[in-house]
Formats: sequence, structure tokens, C-alpha cells
Amino acid sequence: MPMEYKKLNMPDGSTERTDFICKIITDDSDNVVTDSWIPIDTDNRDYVEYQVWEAIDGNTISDAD
Amino acid sequence: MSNIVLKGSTSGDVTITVPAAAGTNTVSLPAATGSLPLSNLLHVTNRPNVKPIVINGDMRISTRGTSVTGITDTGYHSLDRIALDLSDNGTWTQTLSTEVPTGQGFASSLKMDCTTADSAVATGAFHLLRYKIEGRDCQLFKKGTGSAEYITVAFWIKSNLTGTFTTEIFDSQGDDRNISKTFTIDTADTWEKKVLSFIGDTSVAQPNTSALGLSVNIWMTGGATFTGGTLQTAWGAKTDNERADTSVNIASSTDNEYYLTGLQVEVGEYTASTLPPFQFETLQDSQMRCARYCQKTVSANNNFVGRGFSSDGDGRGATLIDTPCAMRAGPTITTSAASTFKFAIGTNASGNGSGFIVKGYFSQAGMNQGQGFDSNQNFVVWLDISASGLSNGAFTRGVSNGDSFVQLEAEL
Repeated sequence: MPMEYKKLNMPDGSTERTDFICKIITDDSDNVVTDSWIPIDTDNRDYVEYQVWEAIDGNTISDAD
Repeated sequence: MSNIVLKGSTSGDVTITVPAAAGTNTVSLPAATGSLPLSNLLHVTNRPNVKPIVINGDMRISTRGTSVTGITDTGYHSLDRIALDLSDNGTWTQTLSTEVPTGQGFASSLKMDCTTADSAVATGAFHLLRYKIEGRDCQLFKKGTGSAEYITVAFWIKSNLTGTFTTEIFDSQGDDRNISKTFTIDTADTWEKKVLSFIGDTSVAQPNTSALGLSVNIWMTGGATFTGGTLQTAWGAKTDNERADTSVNIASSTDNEYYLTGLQVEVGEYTASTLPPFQFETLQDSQMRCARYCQKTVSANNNFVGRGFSSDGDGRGATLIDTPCAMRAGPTITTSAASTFKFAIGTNASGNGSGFIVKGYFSQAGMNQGQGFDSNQNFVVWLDISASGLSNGAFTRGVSNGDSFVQLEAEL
């Protein structure tokens, strides 16, 4: 299923969050299956997994909406 | 006289030995009928852990779901605390199964069923089950000291395939050290109990943190990257091709499957005849210990999700969700789509959620003061969701608009 990492903005949209990133998995019809907020913390294995993904050439996190 | 030899009723004998002793010593036998536990008595007096080291070793908690299909890569899929490391070795379904060894007290097992075969083992392929232990919980092994303890690993396993496989203890701290031993599945489709004892590691102590300490790895397949060398059967720095020795490609056919239960890790050196019995936990205890690593709530349509209030005019509702215990680390918060949540006051419901504004958690630091968690005290999860039809400041129920879920994950 398609997966996307995204940055997140603060609720007022003024600045980028520095505590969480987002991982969204959609189905083939673009419906959201899971929406994960991942703490920016190397104790969190999902964040470490993101770092591994991001280190691969061509992989880039999307900007916040 | 230092020995007494008792002849067996039909064959053999039993020797009772008396060591060199000073003075007069008296050992009283109980006035009762039965069998002495003999060497099994060691675990009664020597077992340093009150609860089993392995959480969910009896494979009955599956917070993420009882069956997960289409597995092709690494992760925690179904059974709690049991990771699968998988690459280039077929497609699998992982299930909580009721298939168990008879008469052992187990009610469930982990089942891996191959649904797409991979007939050739690629060089970098791997397929192993991993049980990962926090550094804090590894201290009793006394690793890195002259008193380092033996570690004994035991489990029940069954497969349609026979052959040689490997159990490895891996130390992710320090300089990546490991020790491995092979085991065999001797008879197809038959439960077999494996007991493997590993000498303690007197080098490289385990940091006393909530990060990954030791992991117990059961290799079902390894490509040439991980096999082919001489298996490392003494503790030492990791050499990749000395980690495993597997004669079998577990993904060779869609007929292949294997089961595992009764995973047990003990401090000390034991054999099949001296291994202490499996420590069964109550369901409640097992669930609570698993919840340190994964929690999930699933709600059907209109069912309660959390306490809510409209937090910003009529376009934004907040839901506060209580959690049962602290987690190992700050958790990933995974939910179903925003449209699966809404808010309700009495019988009036808001519009469906249209997006998440905030997902976060509040630590309740005071509740666990002094317990030394790394900032992960009891906490409340907080979801702020865009939704129309809310009255500013009103208290509401956060409810589900269909099959919604909130999952918190702080696994190793």
C-alpha cells in the first residue's frame, strides 16, 4: 500500500512541528488506512525506521500541508 | 561410607553421594510419599526473577490482531512482543493459533504460514523470530562481569519441514556481540521442545536503559550473508556469516508452516531434564506487561473513544483517551482515518472528522515520581480533530464513526 512521510505544522499553521512527523498509509483508492504521528525521538523504533528510509537516495519527507 | 547405591527395581541403580563433611550434619526427609524434585529444585531456590523474563511467551496476547496476512517484511505483526525479521523470504500469514503441544498447559501458539513461496534463498535473505529484552531487564544476566550468568532458551516448535535451524543471542549494545547454537526439528508435524544453554558473556556490560539490550533470535532461514561461515558458538564480536546455520529454506513452498509457543528464557544453565517449568501468568498480568510496548483500542460505530470537548469554536473537537500504564518510550500514535471519529452530546452528533490537528500525549509526571522512567510516565492521549457542528466549550463524548482505532506503539 502507498506510504508517505510528512512534516507537520503547529495547529495555527505558523511553524513546523519539531516533536512529531507523520506517516500515512493509503489504499489503492487513496483512502487513509492508518495515520501515524511519530515522535522525533531515537528511542522510538518508528522514527529510527524513518531515518533509515530517509537515508536512502531519492527518499524525501513531504512538506506539511 | 560416602556413597549408597540403590538397585533399580528392574535395571540400573541410583547412587546417593555424600560429600566430605566436618562435624555432624543432619538432613531430614519429609514424612510424605512422592518424588523429590532433585535438580529441578535449583529453580525454586535460585531463580532470580519473580515473573517470566519473556512476556507473552505462551503466545496468547495479540493486541494488533489475531491474524495478519501478506507479511513480506520486518515488524511486529500479530502476537505481542514477538518480532519477525523478514526480507526476501516469501509472503506469510501470522496467526494466533490454538494448535499447541498436548498436556503442557498452553492454549495458543504463534503460527507462520507461507502464502507465496520463494524457492531460491537470496544472499541477503533472512527470516527469524526475535524476542527483544530491554537493557533494564537484562541486568540480572550480569553480562560484562566475571559473574556473568548462563542464559538458557527453551521453546516448543513444530513444522512440516525438518532440518537444522539456529538460535542466537544478540547484544545490540556495545559492539554487536553474539553467540549461536543450532537445533534440529527432527520429525515433521510434531511438537518438539528445544532447550539451549548459552554461557554468560563476561565482556561488555548492558547499559541499564530502556533501549534494546539482548535479543533471542530464532533463525528459520538465512542467506549467504548470514550463513556459510563457522557458526560463532562463543561470545564475540558479530561476524555476519557466522550468525546462523540453517539447512532449510522455510519459504520453499506454500505448503510450509511452523508454530512456536512456550518461549522461555532462564538465568542459569539447564538441560531438558533440569529446566524449570514454564511460568504461566494470569491474562491480566500478561496484558499489562504487553501494554508497556503496545496498546490498542478499537471502537465500533457510536462507541465511546474518549472524553471530549469542543476546543476552538465549532470546527475542532478534542478527545482525551486514558491509558492503562506507562510505556517504554514516547509512543507512535496510529489511528484510523479522521473520518472514522466524531463527537456526540446526548444523541446529537457532530459532523465526521475531516483531519487531525494534533495527536499527542500528556505525561502525568507526578503519578510515577521516583520510578525513574525516561520521561514516560502514565499519560493521556490527546486527539484534536477538525469536525463541524460543535458548540464552543461544550463537553462531548469522542465517539467512533465506524471502525475506528487508536494504537500506541513503543516497541523495541
